Amino acid sequence: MNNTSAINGSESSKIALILKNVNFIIDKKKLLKNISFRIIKRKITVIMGANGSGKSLCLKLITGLLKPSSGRIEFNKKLQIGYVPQKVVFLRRNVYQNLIYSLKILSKPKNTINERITEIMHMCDISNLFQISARKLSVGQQQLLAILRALTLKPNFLLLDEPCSNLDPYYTKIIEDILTKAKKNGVTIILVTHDLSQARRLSDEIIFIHNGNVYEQTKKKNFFINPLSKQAKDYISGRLIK
Amino acid sequence: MQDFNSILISSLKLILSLNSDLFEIVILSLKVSISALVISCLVGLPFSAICSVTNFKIKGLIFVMINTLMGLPPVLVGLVLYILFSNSGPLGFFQILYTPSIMIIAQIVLILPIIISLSFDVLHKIHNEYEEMFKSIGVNKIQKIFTILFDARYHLTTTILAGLGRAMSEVGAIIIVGGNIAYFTRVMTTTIALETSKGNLKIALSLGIILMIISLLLNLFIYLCNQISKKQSYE
Repeated sequence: MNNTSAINGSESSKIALILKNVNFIIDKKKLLKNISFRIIKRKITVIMGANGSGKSLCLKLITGLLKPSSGRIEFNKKLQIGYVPQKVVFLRRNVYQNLIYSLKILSKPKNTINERITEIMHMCDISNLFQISARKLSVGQQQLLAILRALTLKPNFLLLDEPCSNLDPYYTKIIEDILTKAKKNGVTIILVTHDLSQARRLSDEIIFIHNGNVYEQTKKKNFFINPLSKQAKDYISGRLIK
Repeated sequence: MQDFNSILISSLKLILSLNSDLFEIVILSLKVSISALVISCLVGLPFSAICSVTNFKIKGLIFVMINTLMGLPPVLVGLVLYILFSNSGPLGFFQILYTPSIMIIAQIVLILPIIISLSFDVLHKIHNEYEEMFKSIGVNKIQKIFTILFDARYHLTTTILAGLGRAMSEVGAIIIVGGNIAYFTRVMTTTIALETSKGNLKIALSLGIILMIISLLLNLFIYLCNQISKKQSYE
């Protein structure tokens, strides 16, 4: 069954992605229950929720790493996806070789590769780390490299799964600055996090997921000032969600 | 019975004299074993890489068979090849019995399962680790194969050298199919067996020492590769 298609009509100018009644079942467990939401172009949408609520699963369905059991995912035709998973994996190569890998896979010519790397270094200069093994970097440096690697392909849709978990404020700030710059450059971003203050700083829209259900999709202001669902209220105030 | 010290001294003298007959045997041994190793790697490594990046129904069964072949008795391999390639056998028309060619085939049969099995373990592990990244970038199967082979190169060196070690020490199969013919199919291990049975312990021990030196060099090389891999493989 093909669960993906292109967005048609007037919606395609504003909407990057639509999930319609998506279910995901594994081992008879319904992990996502009839979820639907829209992702607006050139905005940062934060998917929030407690651990195990289904946030990362949503990203994996959008990237195509997993297929929904039922429902539809509609993409804007011109979407070029970049994905930074929760657990980043690097090739057994140095930082530079990891950065250029996806460009090489797409058979980009050498001058294009050099241009892209120069652009990326303007965004965040890590050229001092080029010859170091990517797998020997600190957690913060690895997250940073993973985001820069995803940006090498000039995605207009960037999906990040908890990119700042376990990071100190220094690397968190660097990564948030990169995401803000990317948004200014027209990149649509979905950010999965359970860091409320990061969501406050970065998000335009918030999708709140709990137990595989979407409880809210609203603007940041509405979510933090006047959440509609009891689950979201409990989550924001740090109470155990029932 | 000659004492060990006098045999050892005369063996060392024979090695140091760079006896041409002796080194002809050594060179043939290396030629046969390295040829078998190269062919086994050319077949085995891509096969393992393909199996690592693809899923098919009988993959498990294939690897059960390959692991079984790893423990195959060399004399049985020699016997089966002898039957197949003897004049009255189904492959007798090749006329390669008692030639270095069939000795290479025998060694391939023995080391190919080792190369495949050991390299598959390494490549499969790397592929599983990279799989999500491959999918998210859209890497095709051929690109996956080249990537995992490249990233596993230092680990695979150990596998390849393990195969060479097995080939160099092999005697049971090649003595049957090669016939141990002087200046043609006589290699180190078969010469040691022959000369020992004739009581010519000096030549046997000389070759034994050379075999040990080669084995030592191989192990030293494996050790160095492991050391380099720790530094260079970007683990």
